[in-house]
Amino acid sequence: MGIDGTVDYSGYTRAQLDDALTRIDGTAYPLNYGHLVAERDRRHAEEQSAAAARAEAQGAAGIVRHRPEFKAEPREYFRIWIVNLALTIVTLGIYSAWAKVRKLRYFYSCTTLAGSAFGYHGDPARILRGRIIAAALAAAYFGAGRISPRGTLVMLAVIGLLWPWLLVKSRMFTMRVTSWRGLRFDFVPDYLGAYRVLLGWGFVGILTFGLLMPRFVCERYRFVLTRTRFGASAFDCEARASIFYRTMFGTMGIGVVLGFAFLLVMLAAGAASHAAGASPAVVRVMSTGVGVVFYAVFFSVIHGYTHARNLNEVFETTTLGPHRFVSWLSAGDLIGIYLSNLFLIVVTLGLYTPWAQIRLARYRLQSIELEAHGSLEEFTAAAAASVPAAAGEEIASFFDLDFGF
Amino acid sequence: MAGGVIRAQLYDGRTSGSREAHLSVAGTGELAHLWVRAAGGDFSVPLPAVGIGERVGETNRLLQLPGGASVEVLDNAQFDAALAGAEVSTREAPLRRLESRWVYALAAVLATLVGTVGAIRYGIPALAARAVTYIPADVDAYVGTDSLRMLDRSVFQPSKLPPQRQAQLRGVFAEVAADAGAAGARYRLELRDGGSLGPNAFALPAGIVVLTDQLAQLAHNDDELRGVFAHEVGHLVNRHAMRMLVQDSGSALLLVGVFGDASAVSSTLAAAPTLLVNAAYSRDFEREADAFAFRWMRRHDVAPEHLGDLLERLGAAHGTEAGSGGFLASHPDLRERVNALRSGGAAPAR
Repeated sequence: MGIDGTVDYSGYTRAQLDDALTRIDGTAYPLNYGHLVAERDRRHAEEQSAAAARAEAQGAAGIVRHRPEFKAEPREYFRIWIVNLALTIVTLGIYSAWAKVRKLRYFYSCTTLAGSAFGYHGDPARILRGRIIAAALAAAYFGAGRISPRGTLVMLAVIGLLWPWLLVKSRMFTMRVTSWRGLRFDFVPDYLGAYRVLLGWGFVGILTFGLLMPRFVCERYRFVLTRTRFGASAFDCEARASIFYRTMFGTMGIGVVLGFAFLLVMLAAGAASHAAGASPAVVRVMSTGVGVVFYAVFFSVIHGYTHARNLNEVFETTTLGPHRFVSWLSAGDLIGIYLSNLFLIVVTLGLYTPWAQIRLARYRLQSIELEAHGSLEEFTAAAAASVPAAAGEEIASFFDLDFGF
Repeated sequence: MAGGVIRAQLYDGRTSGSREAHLSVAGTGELAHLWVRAAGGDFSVPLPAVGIGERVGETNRLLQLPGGASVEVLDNAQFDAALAGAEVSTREAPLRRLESRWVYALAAVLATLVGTVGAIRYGIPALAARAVTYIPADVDAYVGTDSLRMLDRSVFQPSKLPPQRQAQLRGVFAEVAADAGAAGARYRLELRDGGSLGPNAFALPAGIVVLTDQLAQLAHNDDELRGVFAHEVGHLVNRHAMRMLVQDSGSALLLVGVFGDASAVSSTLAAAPTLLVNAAYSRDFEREADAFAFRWMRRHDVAPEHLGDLLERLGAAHGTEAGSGGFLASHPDLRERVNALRSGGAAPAR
């Protein structure tokens, strides 16, 4: 290479520069090394300003839409899923905490926004502790129900009273172990608010025979989003209760139509089997089958419809600093995914589960866009918040308690 | 360096800004250093001080640097090669090997299948049989009397059988219970008008056997009822009710753990196998109680066919035919039970 300091790097391409940087012996050729680094930094600065100019040109007001990418590969995830499941069973459930972290890490790091992946930082040992507490509570719940019907009522009352507290703890845990570009999310605990919204509005909803239930749903979404932070920046949500009312009426209409259809099918099947002289045993099996299929369809349709409608409204009215979100979940797509997933999971005896999870996650992620008003580089970190015990999150997920996401 | 450049993104931990960076690893073992070359300054960190995040599948690793900054590795294979070159091993390496080969995936499918079936078939029942020995008798007593009180309030009426007949039936029951050892002394017979439940008999924890008037009238002779009592005492002696309680809860927990992790939709899916498993447990207990009744009848010179006859009449009264015992039935197929009782061997308690 000759005498140190004689190489002119200005003619190098970017790749050649990178390559040279990894090959160069900095101690033997300190001058060349210095020139090389200087040239690389100059190019980098050029590229940055060019990229900024492009972004400026693209959106007149600096508006750029970012759609999350979901890079999960079902065959790869199948192997991860089944190996971790087998290890969980072989270790009598102890490994389940590690399996959970591994699966969540996969989903999080497969999700990228503006070129950066999300990170999951849950600690398996703490999750295991949480799971043991949740399992003890679940065993008490099952046991109490078996010992006496009153036992179930007592346990339901206990869990109902703990519900808001559990959800706050669960949300704190989930948010604080999630990161993007090195900054953590956060959920600011507001126990009083949680009791007011969940038990307060929940009771109002029940007392008015469901008439004010949409208001409860709306308040619940707003509660959770307005207390969520990314770094030091707060989310805000101005979802309108009127949209939730419309969704409720739609849901009721769908429920009536489906119920009527079910009745007709049962009547027709009853008449047909009577005419064909089918034995009572056959009729019983048939009607059980129709009932199960109807249940699956009913559940998927109602869930898909309300979820698509509600989440669209929630995300469209959510802001993070100057940034907004766009959401176009379609009830039809969601229902289709639910039903086909359900069907394929049943016929493959569960082996389709990884594909089902990825399909659903991909659809949901790619139906949302972040509409960036200005740079995404300017979020700042908040003071580090400690991650709470995992028990709240584990109990909540065992009893299927969530904020409706 | 053989692997070429290792591209990465550097995050400073104070803002969401990202900077392009190139990584390299120098030195080996405890002395290894991670070099980060990025616009705005190069620096190195001792590798043991870096929190090397798990790599799952082909996804990016996150490296936690001391002081709050972090690095997202974009060229994973090259970075892993650099780690190997520096003789640094990651904790998840053995797991990654398991997760990356189809052979292991297939083995895992088999292990899951064998493990789940084995736990449900043998593990949970054996565990439940052990566990109930730790449940104090007071709990049985509470469960039994509470269930009876609830039935009394909802479906049952006081028995309308004449008092002499009631006394007679209690005598017959005591005869059977006497054979059940010390515990048998606490067993008692409760007679009720079954109401909508019709002809029926069942055992509750704490030694309560309930016989409905309708079943007492359906029996042609007391030997048939001896068979029924022996069957119910079989449930009591083996503490089936409490074992069922533990087994149901255990299998529900297991199945939710295995199948219930996708979404709300699939946790409802987990309910279906739970029903099937509970029904299978119930059928096993019925077979065990039949076997107990069979042995008792043989010992006391009562022809086991008597119980078979009554079961058949009972089936006709409830409108169940032979051959209707499906996977969801709580009792084994009627024909199987009757044949077993007649042919001199109770249905095998699988």
